[in-house]
Amino acid sequence: MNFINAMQQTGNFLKRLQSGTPQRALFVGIVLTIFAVLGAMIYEREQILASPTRVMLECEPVDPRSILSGDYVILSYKISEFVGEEIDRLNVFNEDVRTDEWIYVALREQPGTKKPHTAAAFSKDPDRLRADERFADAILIRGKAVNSSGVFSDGPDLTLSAPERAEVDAYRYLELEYGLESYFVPQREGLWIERELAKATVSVAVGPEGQTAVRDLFLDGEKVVFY
Amino acid sequence: MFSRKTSSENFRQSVFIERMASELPRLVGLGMLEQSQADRIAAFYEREAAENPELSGNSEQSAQAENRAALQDRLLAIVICVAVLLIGLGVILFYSAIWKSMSPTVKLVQIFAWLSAVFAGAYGCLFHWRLPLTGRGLSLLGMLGFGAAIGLISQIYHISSEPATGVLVWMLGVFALSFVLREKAGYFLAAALLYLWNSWVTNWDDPEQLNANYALIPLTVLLGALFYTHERRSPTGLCIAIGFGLMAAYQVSVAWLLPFMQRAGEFYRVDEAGVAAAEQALLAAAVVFTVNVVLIGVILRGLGLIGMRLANRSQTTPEASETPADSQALALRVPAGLLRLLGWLHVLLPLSLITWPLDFSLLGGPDTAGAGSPALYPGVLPAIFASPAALPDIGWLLALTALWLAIGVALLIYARGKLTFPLQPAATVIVGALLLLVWPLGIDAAQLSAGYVLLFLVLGIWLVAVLRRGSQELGRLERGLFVGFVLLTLFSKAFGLLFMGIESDQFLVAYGAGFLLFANVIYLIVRYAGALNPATAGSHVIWLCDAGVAFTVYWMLYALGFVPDQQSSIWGARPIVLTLIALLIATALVLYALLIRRGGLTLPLGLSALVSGTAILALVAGGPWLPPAAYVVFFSLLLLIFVGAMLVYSIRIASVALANTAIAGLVLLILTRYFDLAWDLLSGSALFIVTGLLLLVGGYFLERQRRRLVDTIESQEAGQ
Repeated sequence: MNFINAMQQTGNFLKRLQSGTPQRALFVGIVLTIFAVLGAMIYEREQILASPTRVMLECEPVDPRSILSGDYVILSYKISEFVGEEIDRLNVFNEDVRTDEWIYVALREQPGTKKPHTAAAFSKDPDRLRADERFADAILIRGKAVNSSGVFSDGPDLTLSAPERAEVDAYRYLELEYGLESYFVPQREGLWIERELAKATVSVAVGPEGQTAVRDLFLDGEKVVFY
Repeated sequence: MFSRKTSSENFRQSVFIERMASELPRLVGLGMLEQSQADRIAAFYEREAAENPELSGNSEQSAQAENRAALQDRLLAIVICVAVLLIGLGVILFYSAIWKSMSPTVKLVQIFAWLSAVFAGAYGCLFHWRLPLTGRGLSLLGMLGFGAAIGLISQIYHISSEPATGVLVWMLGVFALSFVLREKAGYFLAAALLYLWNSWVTNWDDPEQLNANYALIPLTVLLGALFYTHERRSPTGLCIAIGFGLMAAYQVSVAWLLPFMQRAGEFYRVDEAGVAAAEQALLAAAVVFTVNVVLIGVILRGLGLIGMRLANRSQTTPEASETPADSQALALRVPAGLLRLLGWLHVLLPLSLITWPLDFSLLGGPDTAGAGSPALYPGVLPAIFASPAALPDIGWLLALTALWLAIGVALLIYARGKLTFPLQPAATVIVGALLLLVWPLGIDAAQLSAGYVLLFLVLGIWLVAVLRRGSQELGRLERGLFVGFVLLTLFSKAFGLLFMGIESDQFLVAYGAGFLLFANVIYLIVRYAGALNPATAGSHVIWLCDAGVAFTVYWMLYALGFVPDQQSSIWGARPIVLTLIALLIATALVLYALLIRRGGLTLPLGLSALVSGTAILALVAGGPWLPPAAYVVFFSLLLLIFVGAMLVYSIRIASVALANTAIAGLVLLILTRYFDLAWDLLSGSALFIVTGLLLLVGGYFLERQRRRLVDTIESQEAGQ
């Protein structure tokens, strides 16, 4: 292999590509692609938001350190993190979950109440959850495991005493992100919302594959409107 | 890029016509052209020059016009840059102010309208109105606007998942537009976005979650190729691409290493066998990683030398960047130098590290030798293949080692016969690195012996290459780096061993004497490399290495003159110590034999033999039976002989600098010894008075002696 010639030939190829292509047409083509990409982003969101499937999620307070110039609020949900026994209860198919894997959480309304949805089960396989009649009435939403202690298939260690198990359980965790963790607000409106997060709920539109989009934010049941 | 001919193109054309006119008679003379053809060519260009007055001026006028045009272009570029910045800021401030009162639909319409206007303006300026600079400014604004649009849509729809994807899409858009418009500023913007995107997807801020971003590899190649092929090649851009390349190589290595390390960590929790397995696994991982680092270094240096070769080959004039081709060639020099520097660091830093023990209790004696030291392991590769459980985890890292090896060897094969520099150093480093994989690590004696042998081999072979005539491609950079590395090795060994000696207390003399033997070997290697290249006997490389050895030996002898406590016998230390001493003595003996065969016994060679022989004597005979004062006398005497011999040698080689240095060393020795010994004997005030008088007398005699030495040297120089 003649390395220098190979480098020069690559360079010449790029130059030929630049000089041989119709510059104007390419410029217009790329600009149109840019608009198409932006349009696709909007279309995809609008599709989810138009879905009739909705869930209401309860927020949890978080440290206000995540505010960036006060123009967005970090949202954390009751279903964002599962620990110890909660994992054993929800992991109905005894699966191991590693970081960066997609997880589907089955959400169910609390019967007879208008309270937010709660998690009934999770699995890496949405079809298996849908096929299980125990979760026939549940709505599936998709999240990504951003931090996982990994092995859950063993279940709880029943040989341990309750306090010992509690200690071990602290090291069994699963942290999920649904793409619902940011709520953008006008400048300087973020702090007071973050202070009130314990009373917040979020209305979420759910697409057919479990994709989600934030619709509205509620504080004490009242919709927050900025314009 | 644009149809209008710029003044710089006219200038180049006029220079070409002038050069053509002067070249034509020569080409006719060489028989390459008929006179009639030459006349027709000359007539053609004369006609063209007559049609275009800008081409017919003399070169001075053309240059002035060119300068004026360049100045105007630059001013215009600055104005447009400021305009783009102001507009960008204004737009951001405007949106900040009214954002709250706009509905999402209005916001989206505004974004699209604004972006459309910018791109339409860029298109008009570039392709219709012949305003290239304004067009470039607007297209850059459009590239920035694309990112802003992605951010604003994410904001409107509260999209928080996969923010890195947004940056990736933005970067690809910037890449595409910059490629079509050949916009260098766009390439830099794309590079910044590439860094941002890569940091995001690889989780650099959390090493436990680190991922390998394989897409970085083709994108780095693309970025490098774009900076390389640009009509104004950018050294900064190429250096940035090199940085990305290195980042890609390391993030893949580290991401493949981490699972293995984490698994090794899990072994610790099992039992004692688990701890041994974990140590073995961690050691294996560390060795494979080190081998990868060294091989990457060989590749980097090889690419740097090829880059330098490419620059030299493309350059048409010897010095200045007179033609665009020369500018393009010169732009390769900086990245080529960076590659070579990085290559050196990759090879030499691991090399200097493997000459240190894994634990610092080598001289702790047989009783403590077992505590905390790793178990006996076979070579890393045999260990990995003997334990199939470990193989899946580290297999990819080994595959990467094979890849680096293949690239390194391919570069060597390519370089054979094409580049003028010798290939032995790189070949030695590759072989040495591969030996590490099968060397029985974990046994300190084997690890350290191998480390020292490799260090001496690489130093020797590299020095021969650096000094060799005809290896101009290695240049000043490599010579400087070589000297820097020798000095670093000497100083780090001197201070490191002294520190270990002070820590161990009763082995201070042993560590110090060990350093004297080590420095002697370095000195002999430098001498022998010099002897193989007689034409470079006075080279600065040799001179600086010698000075480094002399300086560190002086300080070590000086430090050994202050031995405070009773010393233990070297025979009570661990076998590794004796192995290393034997290795250093054997290496020195071989080098003495080679040097004496070439040039006989010289004074410096005799002095080095004396110092190392005395060091061996101190090592062998030292022990609890000798009082500390004996060492003081012994090493002070040796230091006196050392400085005295340097003085004699300075006269022989007629070096005033060496004479002055030796005298300064002598003064320092006498003064400190005097204070050390006499403080207890005299009261404070009497000591100062007597010292002052003694200094006056001593200074008088020393100055007379120095004057005589300098006169002798000057008369010798005058006689030559």
